[in-house]
Amino acid sequence: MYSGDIREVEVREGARVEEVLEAVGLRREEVVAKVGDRIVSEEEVLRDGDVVELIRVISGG
Amino acid sequence: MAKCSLCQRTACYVQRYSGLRLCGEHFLRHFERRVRRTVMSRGMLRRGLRVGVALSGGKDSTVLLHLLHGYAEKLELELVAVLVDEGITGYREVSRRRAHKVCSELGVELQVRSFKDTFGFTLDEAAHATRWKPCSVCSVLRRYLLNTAASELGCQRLATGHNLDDVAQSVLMNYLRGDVERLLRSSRGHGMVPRIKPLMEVPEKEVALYAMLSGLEVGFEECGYAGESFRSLVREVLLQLEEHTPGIRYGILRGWERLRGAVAMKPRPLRACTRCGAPCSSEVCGACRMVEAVRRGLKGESP
Repeated sequence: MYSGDIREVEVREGARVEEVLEAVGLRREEVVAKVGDRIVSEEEVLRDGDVVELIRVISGG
Repeated sequence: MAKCSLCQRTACYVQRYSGLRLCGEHFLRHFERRVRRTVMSRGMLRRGLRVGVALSGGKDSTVLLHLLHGYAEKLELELVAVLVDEGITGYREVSRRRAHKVCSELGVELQVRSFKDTFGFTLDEAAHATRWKPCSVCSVLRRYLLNTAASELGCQRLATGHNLDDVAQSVLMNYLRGDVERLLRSSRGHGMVPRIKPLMEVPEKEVALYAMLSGLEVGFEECGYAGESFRSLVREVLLQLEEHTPGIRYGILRGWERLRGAVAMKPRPLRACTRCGAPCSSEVCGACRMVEAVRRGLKGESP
């Protein structure tokens, strides 16, 4: 999820969060990732069916 | 799963520029130590000061207020938060409510200054009244209001929530514009409340992570005008550079500080603006010129 959008992306089994970031075109420094209630690093290994929430933390102004 | 470099718990953050992997608890300690080191090594605070804190209700200023509040008792600081309401529909109302809440929870006095009450127009009204982009109008007038409020309130320091990304962006913007004077000059001068930036050595993502891991109530909404600014272009370039070469923002900061140390710039001779009395380097200050241009534009006259 990103800015309220829900996107389904397919990554290989055992993929890390950083591969999801690449798939949706986001850089590591602009988001904090959560799986469920847990804040996770981009090195977190994903399991089948995991929902990754990407919170954009870089604000303008 | 990556383990924390300091314990056996799972890391929730990878600090690419240092190679450290940190669990939540060690990240919080690491962050607090780093900010404390910035404050102490740069002599930002001393015992008994009255400190104005620029508070928007966003993540940076909320984290800043919490950290300063943590130092307040030991350093006998007197804190007063200053919120500038620019008049941006759908953006400022939400963060203003959060600012009121955090101040009431921490027992910190909150002073609000608005564009409408001070200048007679909101940023929304001013946005297309002049040739300046809304972010330029906002930045000049917000800085003016923060300084005058801090001065009126008897503050000896004005703390802002600028983080490493903000500082690196400003340095790069000045380089790109060839504005050497702005790049090297000091923000200090007669009549200016000395500004301090305790978060200047922590990346924006770490500020957000600190807020989330500490359970602080912050939002990540973006100002509707932000996309129109030169800064947002520079931000994109910097994000790209940091992805490619972790640590580049520290490189920009250190290089800029070395340059400032090597080039002896004479401080700007400041005098009082003939209209409002604020410190400035010409007869009329930038804020007064801007306000006049916006008022002319709003009347339909050529700005």
